[in-house]
Amino acid sequence: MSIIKVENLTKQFKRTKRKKGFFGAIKTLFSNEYEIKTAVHDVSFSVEKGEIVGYIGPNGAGKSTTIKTLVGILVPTSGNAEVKGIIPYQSRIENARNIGVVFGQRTQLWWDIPVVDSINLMRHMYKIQDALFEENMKIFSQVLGIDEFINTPVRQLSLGQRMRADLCVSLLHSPDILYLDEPTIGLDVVVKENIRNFIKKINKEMGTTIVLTTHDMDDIEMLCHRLIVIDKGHLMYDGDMGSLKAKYGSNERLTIITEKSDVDLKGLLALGVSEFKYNGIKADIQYETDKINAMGILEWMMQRCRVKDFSIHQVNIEEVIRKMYRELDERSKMMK
Amino acid sequence: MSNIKLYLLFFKTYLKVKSEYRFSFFMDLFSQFSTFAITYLSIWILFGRFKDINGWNFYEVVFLYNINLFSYGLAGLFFFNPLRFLEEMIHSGEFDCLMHKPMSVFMHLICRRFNQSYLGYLILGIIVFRFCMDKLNIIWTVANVIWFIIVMAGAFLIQASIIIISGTTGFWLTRSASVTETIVHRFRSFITYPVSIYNTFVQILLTFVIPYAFVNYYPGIYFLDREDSSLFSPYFQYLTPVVGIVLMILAMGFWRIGMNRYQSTGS
Repeated sequence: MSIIKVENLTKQFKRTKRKKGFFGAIKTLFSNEYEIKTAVHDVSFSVEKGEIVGYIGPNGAGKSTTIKTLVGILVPTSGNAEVKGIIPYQSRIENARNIGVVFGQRTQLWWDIPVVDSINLMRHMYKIQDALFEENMKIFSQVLGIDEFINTPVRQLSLGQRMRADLCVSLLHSPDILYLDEPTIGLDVVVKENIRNFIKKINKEMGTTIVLTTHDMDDIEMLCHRLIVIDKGHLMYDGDMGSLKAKYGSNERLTIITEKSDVDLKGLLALGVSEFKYNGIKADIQYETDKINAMGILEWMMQRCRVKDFSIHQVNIEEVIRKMYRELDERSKMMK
Repeated sequence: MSNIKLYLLFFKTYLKVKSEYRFSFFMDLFSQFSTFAITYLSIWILFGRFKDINGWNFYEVVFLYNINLFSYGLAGLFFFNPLRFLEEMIHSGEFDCLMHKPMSVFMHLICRRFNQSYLGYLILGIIVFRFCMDKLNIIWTVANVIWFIIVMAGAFLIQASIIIISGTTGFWLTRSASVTETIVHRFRSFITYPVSIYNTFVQILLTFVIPYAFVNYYPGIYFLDREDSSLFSPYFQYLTPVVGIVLMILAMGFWRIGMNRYQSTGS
């Protein structure tokens, strides 16, 4: 049984063309000029209980629109979405009890009051049983270190502390599903690591299904079993990481430092090298791993000049995605 | 019901937190307090030159102003900050955070922000009311007291509705804060003085369009026994609670329309 089901989801925005200034604002109110923008186009996918799914795509791809539909903020133009058997935009409040949401750049905490009071208010809002509340708070103070700043007003928290507090309040009621919209944005490496570990732990121990959007490729690499890639509102890829790498990421990069020479690297192209740059000392060579490996290239180079040093760069998901985006872009240009 | 309980909890929490910073808490109260004390002062200065305004004496005008200030203070305490900043919350995306919680969005909005300085209006209103009560010829029978409370409730609803309606324009306008400021501060300043002193256009505006006149002028006619001053219809002096209820229903409807728009446009 899928916990999240999205079928042929389409969301179009009808926007009035806005005019500037106070009188412009009044004119806008009565104007009939519209432009229609399709944010999400015929997207279908489903998520199983206990999965961690990375929902990624470039800016303006339609990620947030999809999440907002699943949360119940937006009503789709056509198609439908179901979360734990509930249609979120029809039963927003009922749906809200099953989910936790963290929007990385804004807080759901009360700005002026200490974290502990925010937690207490949420406890009453969700009507959380004492036993569950105490159990969860124990976990959160252990893993997230909430205790350090529990008496500080939210506005005085650092971004990292605020994110930890936000995670805490969104998980207080032990939701089945957690939506994370760029959870590590703007955080330093240590806090990022901390938060990723926490997300993993929650997923493992509480069985929480997690859908996260992010631009941070380390998030994806370290957290997600599965990726859904969306671009310009269209679903581009849905599958595990390995197949995505196999499909788009058979590239590796080799950097070789040589003594000054004038070897022409063009000869490498026939062997499976896709791109190279060489200034007589430093060579940057990209190749497809299924055609040639680093040893083959090194041997070829060593026969022609003195190699002083070299390093191999593994493909990371960032390059894979970048390549995928680039291909998508080229494909859409060709379509035009 | 549980919403109200939650609001009370929020209210208590907020006051507790704010009162920890005792100095700034009382400075907030004091600054609001003094702003409106100056309005009373200006009324007093005005009456130093003129014995009455359109037949209304100093204490009567202060009585009218008092109803305005008290009902506004009470409405503003709950509604002004949340609605004034609605537009900002929509733009920053903070509004989305209200929508993923198991609670009415409107109630949640009201719970989010709070302005304790409005308590200053209430205190000032009570003090001045006590002081001018003896100078007015109002006989406080039980019926009159009950009616006065009902009128205050109606006036509160009118003030609240106007704040809600003007703030809700934030779903459409990018600069709704200026609409709120204009209506709630500028237009409301008309009813500092008896509405009868203005020309017919302003009287129509304040009676039928933005019905601030029902906050203090019309009920004032009843309490101060000034049937000679009634405008349009003598029945208007009894209508404050009705206008309040109708306006609140309209405000809630308008909020609904705004929410529907938000859910289909997300901006």
